[in-house]
Amino acid sequence: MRRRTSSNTSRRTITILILISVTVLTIDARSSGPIRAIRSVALDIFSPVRSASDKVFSPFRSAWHGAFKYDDVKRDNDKLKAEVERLKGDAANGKVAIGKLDALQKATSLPFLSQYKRIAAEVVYGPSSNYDDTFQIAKGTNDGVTLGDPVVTGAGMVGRVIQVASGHCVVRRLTDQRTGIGARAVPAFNGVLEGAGAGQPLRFTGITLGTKIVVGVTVETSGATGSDLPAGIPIGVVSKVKNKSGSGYLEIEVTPFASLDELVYVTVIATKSKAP
Amino acid sequence: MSGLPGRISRLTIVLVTTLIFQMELITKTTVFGARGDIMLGIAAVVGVAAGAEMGAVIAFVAGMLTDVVVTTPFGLSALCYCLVAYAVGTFHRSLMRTGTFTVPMVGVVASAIGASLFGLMVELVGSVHVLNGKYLRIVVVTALINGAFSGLLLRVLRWATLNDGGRMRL
Repeated sequence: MRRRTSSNTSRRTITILILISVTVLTIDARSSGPIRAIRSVALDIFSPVRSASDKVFSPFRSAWHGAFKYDDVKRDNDKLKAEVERLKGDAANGKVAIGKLDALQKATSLPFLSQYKRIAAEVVYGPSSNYDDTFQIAKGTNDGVTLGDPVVTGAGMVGRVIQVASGHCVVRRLTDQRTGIGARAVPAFNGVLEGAGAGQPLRFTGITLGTKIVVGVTVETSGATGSDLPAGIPIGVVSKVKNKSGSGYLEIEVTPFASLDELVYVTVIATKSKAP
Repeated sequence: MSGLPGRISRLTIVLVTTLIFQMELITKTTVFGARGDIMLGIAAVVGVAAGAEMGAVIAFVAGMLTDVVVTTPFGLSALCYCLVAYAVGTFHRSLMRTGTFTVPMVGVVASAIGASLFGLMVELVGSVHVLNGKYLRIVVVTALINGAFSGLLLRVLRWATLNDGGRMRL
């Protein structure tokens, strides 16, 4: 009798927990305002803790890489030895400093959208789970970053801000499958650019059969009505065009200009602030 | 510190520390391109440590904490974790005897089921296509990592819930 009562209580508890989860999921799906606020607060709380614990866990990560990726480490080590020899000569001439400055300049000197304020930032963390294609930068609302701002390097767009706290923000890469931005193939074929997963080319959809788009054409943000991104941010180049049988649309792949996997410095284009 | 406030404090310490461990070590260390999920390991083991009902509640809180720091739909980890903990607690209650390898086996199997379930839910709710080769790698890597940590997690959770073998009562 007692066991049956306990079993009933357990079932009631799990039912309540499932209902709470589904309610929260629904709130998140319908309007992410409150959930976004909670995540922003968490970002502010966890950032200093992460920065401290990062140092603590660093030796363990190195040990892991050393133990389980020995071949990679050895190959990298050989490559680095050769590089060190080369750099010894360069260093004397100050070429190292110039190289670093070059990398930073490439990420921050943008030949587009000069009317907006630009915020240079360093990428501090990578994705937080298997199903995230995001990274974190150490700039937030205090620096002028707002939700939805485009994030670029000197080569082109790399993603958009999806969460912003006072000192940090989370950027979703273009390749994330939840990405969907208004884009145009130069000169004026408007469509939607969608992510297809990390390491995959982007998909340019909504272009009807018969449209004259060829491999090598540049794709940039369209700034079309309904799109909250400014026009003219370069994204990539058309790398494949195929007739999608029966759909009436072309199947177009776009390779991003920027190397999305090797980001060190990026620039946030603060679309709500004008350049000084 | 004993009693309910003591248990809540200890559980908070365990969950937050595990979450930091997850963010700083587990997610930054990929194995065959997949990352583990030690918070799911908590869900897989807490059913043994605290029973089905309390295990589900603790796993739900662990899931909510995880949901705060990832960008998958909010509430998905909480739902998945509480179901896993409840299933493990119910299954463990029905076991007549347990051996040395029971807990690691429970950790591996429950984590594999939990990781599969989570992937399916991301596909359904998150409008993201995840059922590919990487999905299988994620399930295997998560199951193995959690199986390896399950003994330690059980000890820590028993300490946190002040439970030396029986089940924690509400």
